[in-house]
Amino acid sequence: MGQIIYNIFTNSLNLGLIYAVLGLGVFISFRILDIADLGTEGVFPLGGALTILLLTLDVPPIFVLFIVTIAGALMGLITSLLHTKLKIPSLLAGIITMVLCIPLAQLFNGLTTFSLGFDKPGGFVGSITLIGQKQTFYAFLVGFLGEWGYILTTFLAIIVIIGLLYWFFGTEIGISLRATGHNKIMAQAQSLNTDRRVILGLMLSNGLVALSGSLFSQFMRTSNSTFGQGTIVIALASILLGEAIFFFKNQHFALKLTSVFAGAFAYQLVINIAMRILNNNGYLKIVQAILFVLILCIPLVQKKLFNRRLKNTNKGVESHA
Amino acid sequence: MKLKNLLKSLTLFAVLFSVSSCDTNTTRIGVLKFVNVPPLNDAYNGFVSVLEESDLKYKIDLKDANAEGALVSSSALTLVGESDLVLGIATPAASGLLAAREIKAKQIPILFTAVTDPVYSGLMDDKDHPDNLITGTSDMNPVREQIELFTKLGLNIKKIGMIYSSNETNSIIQKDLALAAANEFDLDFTFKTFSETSEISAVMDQLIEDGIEGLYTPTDSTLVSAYSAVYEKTKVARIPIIGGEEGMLDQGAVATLSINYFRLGQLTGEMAIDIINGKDISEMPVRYLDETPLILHLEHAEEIGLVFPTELLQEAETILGAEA
Repeated sequence: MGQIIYNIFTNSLNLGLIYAVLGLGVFISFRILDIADLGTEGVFPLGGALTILLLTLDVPPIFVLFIVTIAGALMGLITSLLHTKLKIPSLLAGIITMVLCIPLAQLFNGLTTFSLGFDKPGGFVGSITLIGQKQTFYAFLVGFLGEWGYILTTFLAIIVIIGLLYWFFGTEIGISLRATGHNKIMAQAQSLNTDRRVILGLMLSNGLVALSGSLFSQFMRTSNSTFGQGTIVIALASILLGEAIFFFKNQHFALKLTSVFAGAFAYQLVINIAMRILNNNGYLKIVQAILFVLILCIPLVQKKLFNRRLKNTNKGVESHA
Repeated sequence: MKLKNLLKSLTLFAVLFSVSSCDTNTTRIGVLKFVNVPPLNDAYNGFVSVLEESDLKYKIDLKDANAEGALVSSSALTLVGESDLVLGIATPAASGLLAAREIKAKQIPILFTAVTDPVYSGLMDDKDHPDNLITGTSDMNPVREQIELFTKLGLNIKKIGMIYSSNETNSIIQKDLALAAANEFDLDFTFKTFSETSEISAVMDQLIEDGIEGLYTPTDSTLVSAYSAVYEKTKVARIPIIGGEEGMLDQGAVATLSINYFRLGQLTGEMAIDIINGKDISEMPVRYLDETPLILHLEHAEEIGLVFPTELLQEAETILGAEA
């Protein structure tokens, strides 16, 4: 019994932390820039596929993380250029990137099997496993701490990421980026080049999504081009649940970033518990849908209950109405 | 806060739910199924049927991953955490369990089934000498013999085609084998892939324009899920399909050398019983189905104007679609 609670806790922490990185990426596009970027579902498996390829080629794991983040940023560049320069609606621009990313991920998988001597170059491969002796980003701490090594490694990574994001969004360019998302016309009136901010923001966002895909693939030692399915739901649920948990004082930007992490953990916790109660994962999808509606309703309920106290918070939620 | 209370009550629920199942003599078997499709379900049912006949005390926990990465990993971690033996049905499920076992640092045996090539998929280094507490059964179909069937149909087929999903590693392995077999039997071979099932019709049109006289469909769960799109096209063009597995005959294929997933699951179940009874896994190489009976479908053959030669009819173990 204690074992079960312990397992629920560690499983949720492991996945919650990895999906918190994803949540932070989507937070930038969805909350700060006010753009729904569906490219996430493609960039996530792309990051994973590139990771397994680079690890198979014996690139040191820390460099792998950098390279994958840059690759994700490039995908964000594509989405943002389609959106800003070609005036394609952001939703469609994201879908185009997603469609592009999945065969790219399969090509990377194909290169991995080629480098292992199984296949000819240029093949599209759906799923691959990282061969046993290759070390991942997690190897160092896992050597000392076992399962908690995974948790601690991702946790340290998240602290660094939140720190960097907090610093970045405090700089002049970061603040102008937030202003662009908040009120584009006002930002343009202040003679800001909003297109450039959107490009930068989406690059940052997709970089983090790819990084999350990379961590997930290293954690699971697999790359699969279908693994992006459902990531946007997980990310949005994490963001919204986080906002619901920290609703009473979410003015501070650092707390907003932390709330994504808390939300990601809470969401995994609920999913993990639901998975145990419902033996069939088919029902889980129904629970997920209901849960999603509930999470989306929370801001409304909170507003009704604490109307006065919340007058100036949850601005983001209002601006989406 | 309300949410906290909800979480508390849910946890309590989970605890109550699991207390009833704590028993030290029972073997806890965790099964992770990658996606809910007939072949994988058959494999699971076969696995369970063998265990039911045995006198072992066991409890099965089945999780279906819905082909989602997030569910593969959380299900795998859950199962590995609380099972004495785990079974992965299809390659991604098996590799998820393998990773989860490493994360949990537990030394429990892993079985797999419906994996075409465990070495290619990175599950193990040597099929004959499992050294990492992982073994299982492969659903490798007799591709060479299936391709050979085209020459036995009595249609003087010179050019065959193949369609498969670019998402499926298993299909790529089968494509290479089919290509080699086609060369051996002097057949022209062409293949086309699709990434989404909505593309199947267009891809089939291209294959038919290329002038194929026969179509080979591999054991590809994405393809199986939209098989009727393939059948619609071949029926009009009067092209016979040889299927990679038995289920395809119900959906339009004319013949196959059958892989019976129920039987494959039974084979895996037998291995599970051996493991529970203490057999050393390093002495349990990956097993394959030893019999692949010929199955024909008369009705589908008739629709395209194909009459099976007598020797083929005599060879067949099962003939489906005969007039009642």
